[in-house]
Amino acid sequence: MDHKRLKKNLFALYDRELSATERCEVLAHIEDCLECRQTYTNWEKIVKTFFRPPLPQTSELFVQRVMEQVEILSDSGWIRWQPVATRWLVPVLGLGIAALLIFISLPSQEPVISTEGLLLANGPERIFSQGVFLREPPQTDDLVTIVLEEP
Amino acid sequence: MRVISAPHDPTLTQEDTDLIKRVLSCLSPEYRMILTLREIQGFSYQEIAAVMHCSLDSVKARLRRARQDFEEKLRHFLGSGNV
Repeated sequence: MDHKRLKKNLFALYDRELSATERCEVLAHIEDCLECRQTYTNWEKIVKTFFRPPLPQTSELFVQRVMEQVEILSDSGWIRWQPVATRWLVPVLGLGIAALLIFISLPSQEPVISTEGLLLANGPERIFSQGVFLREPPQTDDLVTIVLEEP
Repeated sequence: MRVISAPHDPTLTQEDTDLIKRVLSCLSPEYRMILTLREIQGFSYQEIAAVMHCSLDSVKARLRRARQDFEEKLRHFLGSGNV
């Protein structure tokens, strides 16, 4: 008796035309009843194969409403059609000003502490303080000599 | 048994469309109408009831019988290779 009653609601379940209570009842029955499950699955396959939903079409009414709103906004001055050059002018100017501000606000590239004095202090002062630079790279013997001259 | 197109195929083949037409033409006008309204036009039960001037329970019962009939006819067509 219950099987017959629930079987009648199988297709309504598929069509989502059942209340929440009925839906739970039929779903629970499908879990247990092989015959009802097969009937449900078979129809599902048939629909998927032969009765596919049509592709959504553009609603003419929707397009018409949108175009009406566009015309209203255009008439009221909300939308102003400007030449291309004018439209690009504001963004380009804004970009230029932003770049200028970034350039100005950048910190100086010189280091806070000059390393020149440190290098001179650590090196052989006599040679560098006199401003003597070798045109050719020093030979190994010269370097040894310099080291030996250190006090 | 004829192999029908895969369910995930977004387009129906001409053969499938012909088969639907043939099966539907074998149904009674009442069943053909209710199946067309529901499966092709996508009407709800309420809308079908309004179109066919009957109650919701009647729509439910007719649709169930129409689907069973359609399935039987389809099985007959596919089984006999009459396509």
